[in-house]
Amino acid sequence: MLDVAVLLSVGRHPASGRAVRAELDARALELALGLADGARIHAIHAGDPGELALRDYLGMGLAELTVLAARDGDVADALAAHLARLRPAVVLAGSRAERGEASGMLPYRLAHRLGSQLIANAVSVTPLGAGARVIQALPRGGRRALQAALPVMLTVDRAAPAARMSAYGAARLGRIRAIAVESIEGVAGTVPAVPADWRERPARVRPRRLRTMVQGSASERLRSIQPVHASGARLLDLDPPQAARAIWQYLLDEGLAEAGPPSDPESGSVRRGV
Amino acid sequence: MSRRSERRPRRESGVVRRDPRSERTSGVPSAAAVRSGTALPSPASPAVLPQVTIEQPQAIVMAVPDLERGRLTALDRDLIGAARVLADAQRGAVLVVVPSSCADDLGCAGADRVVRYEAPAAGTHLAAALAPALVELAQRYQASHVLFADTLTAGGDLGRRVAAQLDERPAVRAIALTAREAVCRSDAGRREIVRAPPRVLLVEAGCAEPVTGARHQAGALPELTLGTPAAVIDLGAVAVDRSAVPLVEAELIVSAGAGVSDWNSFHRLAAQLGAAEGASRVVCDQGCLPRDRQIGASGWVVEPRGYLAFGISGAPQHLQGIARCDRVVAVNCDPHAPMMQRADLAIVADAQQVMPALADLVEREKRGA
Repeated sequence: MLDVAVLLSVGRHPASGRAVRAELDARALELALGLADGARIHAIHAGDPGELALRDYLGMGLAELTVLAARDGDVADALAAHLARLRPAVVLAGSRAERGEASGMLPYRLAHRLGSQLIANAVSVTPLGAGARVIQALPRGGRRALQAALPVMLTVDRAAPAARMSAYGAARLGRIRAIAVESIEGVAGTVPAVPADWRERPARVRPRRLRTMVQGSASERLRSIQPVHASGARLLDLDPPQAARAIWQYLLDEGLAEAGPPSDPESGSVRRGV
Repeated sequence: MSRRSERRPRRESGVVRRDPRSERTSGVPSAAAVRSGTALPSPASPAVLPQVTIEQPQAIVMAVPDLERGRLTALDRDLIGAARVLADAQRGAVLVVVPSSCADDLGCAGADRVVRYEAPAAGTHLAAALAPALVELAQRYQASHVLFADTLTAGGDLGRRVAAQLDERPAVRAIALTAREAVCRSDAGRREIVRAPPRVLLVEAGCAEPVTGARHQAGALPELTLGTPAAVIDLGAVAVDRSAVPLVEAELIVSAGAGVSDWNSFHRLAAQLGAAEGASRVVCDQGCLPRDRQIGASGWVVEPRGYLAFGISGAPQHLQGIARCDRVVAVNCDPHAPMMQRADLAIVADAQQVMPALADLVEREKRGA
């Protein structure tokens, strides 16, 4: 049976700011729960075992959630030691957290530490022979298939299937197992997450960059920095074929369409929901 | 008198005064030159850009642009501008790493040195092959900084791999950069971290001004050879139904408003163009398209590169949803509709007649007629 570890963090509700399940981590858990032949899922969180938002994950159908009990700090060492002992074939994690620095570096550091492969932005994973077949999301709705040797670390982003709802009963029944970080072999405890020479401050609204032009008369330069609403061409009195020709030419000029037969022979066959 | 001399920044203070006439001398022709017909060519043409050559750089700053179809994106230009800021502060040179297929003029974008690499053989996972090569390159030239664009799949992935292999704590989502400090977004955009620029930086759009008005050397250095890691194999692109991709990911959206009644033509057009289907609220309320296709304040906020609006008048709530669209084409009978004001190409015509005409035209063109 495939061992799958899912790294879960506590998110922040976008409107109310309350602690809830993190959107991307929930999608990672959804991928793990959706594995066809029933993988053994190890859900892991590092932080406060008493956090109520962790119940949201249990409500998705988890029986147990392991919490490496740690205060605020860098938990990479503890997670790496815990994962090295578990030896999961696949590790799933959201691509970045919703609180704190949220650098998205944790999966990369863990993969480097554990010597496993890493594939970013996965939308689906299927065990295949001795490895796994992973579909990766590309910008603008593109998809790419990859074959990875195990163990593999996958980060999950917005393109992955949406997480199922959390059921209240299951959330109540699920068990949270806490492990003190200090009890893990080879881990002395957490080190502070933020170095002393970093300064933190509330975010400020950045001024928008103006596209200034160097040339032209004063009135032209003034017009160039004013917000543009009606920059475009306006065509009146066209018959439908002429209008179609104008739109098509515009799409070609902007690189939004390509003339000629499609280069990809597969693109004719439509596959839904990949 | 003494007051005035105080206000003027002195040389030894390190402040460089801008010459207010530099613009005129560099490019804008004088009125007399225009009158006599001897005006200089425009500064946009590369011929008149002053050449910048750095023979003995004190440091090397690496920049790895994302590129889109072999050309620099706007973010890539900001990225090289950011590398310029860090390099100029230590009399260094900017080294840009690009695939050999890159056709853009990197010298005008601010590159002093260029390292190219051949695209690896089919089946190689590019990020896994490129990251160790970049680490090796950074160590060979003792690069003081390595910069990436913090995008989802390209630079963001590559930069984090390089940072992990260098055991560095990178500055991610850097939104402003000077030689002394990098400002990074944190806590989902609520807070900012200000820190000294570390060795690896992942920058966002607007982090620095792109380089204009100078042509750098762009001297070619020995090519980079990539390994072929076998643990991950790239099986190539998967065919996707473009009209089924989530609207937030779509590149081109064809959208219908209350002015559309010929739904067969609409669906045929979207299929021919390979575009995702969107709709205004009215259309979704009528049940003509599913609710998950609604664009606007109460639906999706989308940012495709192209947006074709048929029969949409453009309520403020709908315009909010397409505020970040790159190019908007509108077809509407009403020339005064707000959508027509917003559009880059506005066509006053009946959507019912233009849609089948366009679908036919696209079909003919795709067949290679």
